[in-house]
Amino acid sequence: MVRVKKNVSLAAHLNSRPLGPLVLSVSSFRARHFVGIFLQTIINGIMLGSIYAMVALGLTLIYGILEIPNFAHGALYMIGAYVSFQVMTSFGMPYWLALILSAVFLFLMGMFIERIVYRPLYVQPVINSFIAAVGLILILENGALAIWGPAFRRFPKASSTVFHALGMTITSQRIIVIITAVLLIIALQLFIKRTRLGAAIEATSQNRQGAQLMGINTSLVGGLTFGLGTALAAVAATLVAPILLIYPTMGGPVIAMAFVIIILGGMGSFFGAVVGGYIIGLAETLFSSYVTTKYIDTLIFGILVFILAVKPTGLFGKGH
Amino acid sequence: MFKGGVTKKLFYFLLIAFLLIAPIIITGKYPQHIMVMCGIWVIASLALNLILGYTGQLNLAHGAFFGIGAYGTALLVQRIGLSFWLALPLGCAITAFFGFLTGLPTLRTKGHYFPIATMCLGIAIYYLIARWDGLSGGPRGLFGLPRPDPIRLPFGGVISFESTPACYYLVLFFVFVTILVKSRLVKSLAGKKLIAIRGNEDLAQSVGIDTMRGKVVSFTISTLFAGLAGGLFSAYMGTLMAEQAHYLLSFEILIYVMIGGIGTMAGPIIGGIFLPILGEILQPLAGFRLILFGLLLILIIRYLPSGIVGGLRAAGMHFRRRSGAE
Repeated sequence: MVRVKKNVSLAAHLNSRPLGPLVLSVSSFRARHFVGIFLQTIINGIMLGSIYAMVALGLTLIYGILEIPNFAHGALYMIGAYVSFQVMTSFGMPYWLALILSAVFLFLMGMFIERIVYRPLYVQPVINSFIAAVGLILILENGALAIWGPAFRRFPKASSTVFHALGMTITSQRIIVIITAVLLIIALQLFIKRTRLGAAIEATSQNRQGAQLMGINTSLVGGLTFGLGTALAAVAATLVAPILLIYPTMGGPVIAMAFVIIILGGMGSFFGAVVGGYIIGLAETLFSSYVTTKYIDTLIFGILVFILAVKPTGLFGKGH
Repeated sequence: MFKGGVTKKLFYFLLIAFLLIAPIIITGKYPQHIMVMCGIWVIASLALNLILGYTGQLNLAHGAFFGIGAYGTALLVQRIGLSFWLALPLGCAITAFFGFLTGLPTLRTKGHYFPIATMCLGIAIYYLIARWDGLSGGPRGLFGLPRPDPIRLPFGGVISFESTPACYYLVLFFVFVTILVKSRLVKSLAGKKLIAIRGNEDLAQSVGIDTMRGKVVSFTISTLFAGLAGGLFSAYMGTLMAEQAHYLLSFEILIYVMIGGIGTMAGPIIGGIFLPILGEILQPLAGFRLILFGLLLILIIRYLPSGIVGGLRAAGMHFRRRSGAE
């Protein structure tokens, strides 16, 4: 039994958690269908996990090559959402074209940032790259604030179809998020394992000097990887944006969670970022709908502290 | 060992004399307000420099500890009705205790993990403060906080803290306390150990320095003074918002330290005085102020990693070497 309804409005209320509305809509229906709600929570968790996995994957790719935890990744994620928003509202572009344009734009922006900000700092102590990232966050977040203002912006909706099945209410956008993410993750894995450029990325992440000796242009690989990771963040942001609202500081909570994920999965690990992303996404959604939405950040940080105290290199990470 | 010993002493003497009579010379209410704020930022910057500059650990939760100190002191005064003079040390103690508790697991981590862990910690504390309506007033914040209680002098007379100059002297006193404690610590054997940890943690450990202990002590003291700055802020401003624990605050204090000069005594003082003043001058630019600060940070990191003080030192060395050669 599948009913289709058109134009169901977006959950209007939003607290500052990135996926607050999902959770609220779940709890209000709880009395009706326990099983349906549970299944819906799982679907929401998988969707959230898909977003986290993509953001964490970009972060971990960049870390693997450049050995810098790019704090500005969340700010770039936010810029990705605004770029899609802008081309859709001012040029009336279709959603998928906006997604691709945003990815291309952020790819170039990532390469530019790597070249201008990070590459000159390779020879300096690691701490300086962190501080440069802080400078980047200030520029990007306040730049977005200056251009688009502090108001929450509603994304022009890409797809408004709503499915009802087994007591679940699922918008097609959520299914699009999940399918696109899974396809992208598989494509990325194939790219790294099957192509020459992918092999160069993997070689550079395993041993930079060795790769250089083999004739790989590690600087170029670094730039391309940075661009790729950034484009991935832009895709993730554009995918989730029609479900949520966009605002200049939307990257903050996501980047914190992405760091938790790559610490959990071991920094630089492809597999760890994907698995960690889905675990955290599911855990966050289940916890928010069955326990509380209020203190989830604090709880997740508690888990992080615990992991760091037990195994400072992450669950699947190799020791340094 | 230093030729200009007398001039240096004279310089410090004049500087302190100027700071003591500053509110008499500068009478405007707005400049005086900025002077008080500068003092608070100097304390916070000096505190960050201890863990960042001298121990080499980038703590991105510094603003959160500032917030804990501010909220801790304010709540002790407002809810429990303690005197400010009791609430301030208690607020600092709570902040330091929290710093100690969170330092134990986070400082175990090395390299990239510590800034990441503290960034997550900073965001977690910010959300805790912003959401815990019952305690912190949530997004509305706390308001109507009283100024520090007047002190009754033994021979009659009362020091009241209602006026801005009085608050200025109060903050100035704590700036001196912070400088004194920090310079004592840095010059002591413990301070040398911290600098060794900054240089090379593994090497420091191999020569028998308990690096973990050193880092935890440094972190705890650093958070204690961040709490002090926060406590003074709450009593001076009279209102508190969750923004006072936001990660942007950590970034701003980081900028003060970096641009002033990381790992130097004068750096955070210079940064903590001149950058807030620059910020006030740039106030009409609103959001562009922080864009400018971000650009400045990236440029400083690339071209002058040791900040203004480091740059001045290098320039001074250059000229001295030149005059010596001729």
